Amino acid sequence: MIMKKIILVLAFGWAASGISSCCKGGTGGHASLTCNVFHHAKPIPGATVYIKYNASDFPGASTSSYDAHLTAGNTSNQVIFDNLNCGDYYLYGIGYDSSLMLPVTGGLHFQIKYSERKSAETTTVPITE
Amino acid sequence: MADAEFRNTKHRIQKSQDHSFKFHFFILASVFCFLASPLFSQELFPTSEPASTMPKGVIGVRFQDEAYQEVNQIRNAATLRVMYGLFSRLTVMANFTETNHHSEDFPPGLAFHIHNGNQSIYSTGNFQRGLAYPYLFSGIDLYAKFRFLSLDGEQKHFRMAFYAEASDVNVAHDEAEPDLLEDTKGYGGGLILTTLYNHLAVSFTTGFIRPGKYEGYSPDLYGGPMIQTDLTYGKAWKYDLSFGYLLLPNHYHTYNELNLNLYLEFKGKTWTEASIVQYGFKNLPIQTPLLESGNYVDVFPGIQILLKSNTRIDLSVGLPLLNESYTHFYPVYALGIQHYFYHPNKKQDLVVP
Repeated sequence: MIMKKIILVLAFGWAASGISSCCKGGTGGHASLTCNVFHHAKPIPGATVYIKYNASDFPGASTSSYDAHLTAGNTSNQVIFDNLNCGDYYLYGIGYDSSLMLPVTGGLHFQIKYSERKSAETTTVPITE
Repeated sequence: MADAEFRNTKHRIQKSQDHSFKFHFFILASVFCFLASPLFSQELFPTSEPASTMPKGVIGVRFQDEAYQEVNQIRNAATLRVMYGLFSRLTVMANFTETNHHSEDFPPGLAFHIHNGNQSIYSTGNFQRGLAYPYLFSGIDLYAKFRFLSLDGEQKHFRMAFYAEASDVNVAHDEAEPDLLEDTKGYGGGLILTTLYNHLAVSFTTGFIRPGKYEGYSPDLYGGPMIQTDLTYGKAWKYDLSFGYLLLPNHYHTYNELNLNLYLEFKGKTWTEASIVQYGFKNLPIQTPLLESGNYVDVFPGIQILLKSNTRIDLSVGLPLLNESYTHFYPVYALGIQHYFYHPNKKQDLVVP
């Protein structure tokens, strides 16, 4: 009887920890995600960040593979995606490093957990030549 | 009654002068337990699982610690294991492990790139060993073992079991070699063959490990923000050979008698090269043996005492025999303390004159 209770508690804990994986990345939620684009320590103004909903692996370099995108202002390296659900997102940044005179790109997976479904989240998007 | 299942007693119990009904009933019950799913003390290997399973309804709790010195740091992996005999042929267990083996981020130097003019050179490399890391909860490993064959004879048996395990471990493990208990998430399975003849038990375990990837962060050499780094560990095949010898007692007189077992275990593993990706699409060349494919065999001589048939204490030392693992330094000291909880109504004590 005690063992059954232990198993139930473990199963419950396991299920609870998996709630965030039940979230599905997309719009319609109450979370926001601020993305700051950097090449090493250098902010990249005017960078564009593409977002793929419900994805944890790199969707590819083709921008048509993404669901939405935002472009930072000429003097800013920051974009903000609003109204997001908890879940998985793949972010892909594209910019231009004027000091190297080279295009720079890079991506990362970002997860908004269930407990963060109403939070304002921030991440850096490191990009490279 | 379940005490008998942890001892090689059936053929050592001397005939008692007590001819009471209760005594005879107990002897019959002991024989039944022996035939059902006995677990002999010399096959309670310190670092491997035998093909034998726990009796139904028995709960076991184990604390184990593996420690070694890495440069000036003492590394520990402490595991709490809860075991349960779900059926006479099926044992399940859950392992909860905490270690100071890793940080939450990958160490500097493991994955990086440098600029040379307009060229960027991506690489992987060795990193400083002996860094101080905090104790982190590594995760949970679930394990199940099903005994599908039992050929039992007089003071001998041969058993086979399948096992399967899955783990949800999330630490910044920085070598290709996977380990589902404390280093990498993933799943695995395999086969266990165990034979016992008189005082000697021999067991062979072989199986696969399919680790998942760890999504961590690496420091930027140029002072920028941490760079997301996905490390996919190597797929592995493990092969362990264990010998156990019941040194004491020669003949059982009581179930409370202390057992002394000697062990010699060979633990081997072969794994494939890891892969490491940064920025989502940069596959870094593997240029460190830490992330390359490899193999090794360690040897673990060990000693064990079993108290009152339900408490065991193991001490073993891991040494390299063929090649070396990069996941630990040598020697590895392993301590295990395990206790079985029997159903109170089944707990018996038998003293045989």
